[in-house]
Amino acid sequence: MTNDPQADRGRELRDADIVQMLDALARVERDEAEQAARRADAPGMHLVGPTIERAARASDRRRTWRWSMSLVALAALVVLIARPVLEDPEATPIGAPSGEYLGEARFGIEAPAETAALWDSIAWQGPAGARYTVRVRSATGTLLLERDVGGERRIELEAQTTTTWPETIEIEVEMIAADGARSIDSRRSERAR
Amino acid sequence: MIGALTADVPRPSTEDRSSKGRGAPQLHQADLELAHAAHRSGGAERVRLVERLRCVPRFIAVLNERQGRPFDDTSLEDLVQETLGEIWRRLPSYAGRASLETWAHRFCQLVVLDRLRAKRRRDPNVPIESAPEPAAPAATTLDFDHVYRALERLDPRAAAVVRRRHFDHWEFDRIARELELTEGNARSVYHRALARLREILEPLRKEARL
Repeated sequence: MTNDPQADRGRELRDADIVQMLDALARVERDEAEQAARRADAPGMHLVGPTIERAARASDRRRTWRWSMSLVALAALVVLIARPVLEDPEATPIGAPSGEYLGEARFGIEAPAETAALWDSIAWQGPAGARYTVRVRSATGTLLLERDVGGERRIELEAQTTTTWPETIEIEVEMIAADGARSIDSRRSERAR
Repeated sequence: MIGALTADVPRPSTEDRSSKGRGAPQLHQADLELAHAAHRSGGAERVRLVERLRCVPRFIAVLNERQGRPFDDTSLEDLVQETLGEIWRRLPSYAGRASLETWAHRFCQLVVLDRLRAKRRRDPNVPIESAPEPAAPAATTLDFDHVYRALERLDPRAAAVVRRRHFDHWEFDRIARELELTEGNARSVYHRALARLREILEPLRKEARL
């Protein structure tokens, strides 16, 4: 700006009150520093180290906590981003848990027995909601009966029909479950003599 | 207490951010490195920092005496811990524009004043004097604390020039060398700083006269 001492003097006069205040403030600060240097016995001198250490430990804990939370957030973000990439769009969907232990009926023929005096009915166990088809064949494979019974789990047989059947028959029950899965159970039964 | 205080304590972090890239002076580089190293890790730096901060109880004791000893020794110990906690919390924002002791001194002033005001609210008979000596005419109407606050609002380079000129009694040629300015520029920065201080202080002065 200028090196003119006259001009500086003029400005300093104009700002004399500010200058005086700054000088006074500086004097107070200097006096306090000089007095402080003589106060080796000031209360709390022994607390400086422990207080700083305590504050440092607290801030370290906060830093560790923030760091851990950042890691967790980062891991969650990675999973979120990677999931659509890693997921196979062709993968077979996994159905809900199922089975007899979850209350669903076991599938299997119950009657007639392997040796029966009378073939008056065919009965089986199986889950509700499934569809069943019953087939009866001779031992040589000739189809004697085929009946789609819907959700029924028992059919009655007429004596006039069964009396014409050979001594040994193959009973087959096909189940189509609600999800489309197919199962077959079969049993050989002989007429008791 | 600290919560109420934080609004008063200087905000070097904000000033630091605004001053970066403008060639802001960092006059106490060694103190700056010590402060940041001690805050990042323990060890020798922290031991040295503790040594430097032994000025805190001394400053607080002196300030208490200047105020007519409103606090007993137990309260002073509380004040020391409070001030050190605040200093530690703000240490990352220390910019090295003043020595660590000067920076700590300002915290001591603010904590003592803050606690004194709280004490006064409870008991109006407790005197409150932030300007211990009515040395300057301006100080009769204006709190010294206001001047400190005004200095903190100056541009870092301007504040450094004012501080060197008045607090360290340096000549302009020395200030210019340290801040890498021409002597004319140093004078110019100084006079603009005084004008800016007047702008900041004038409304406060009017308020104080009322």
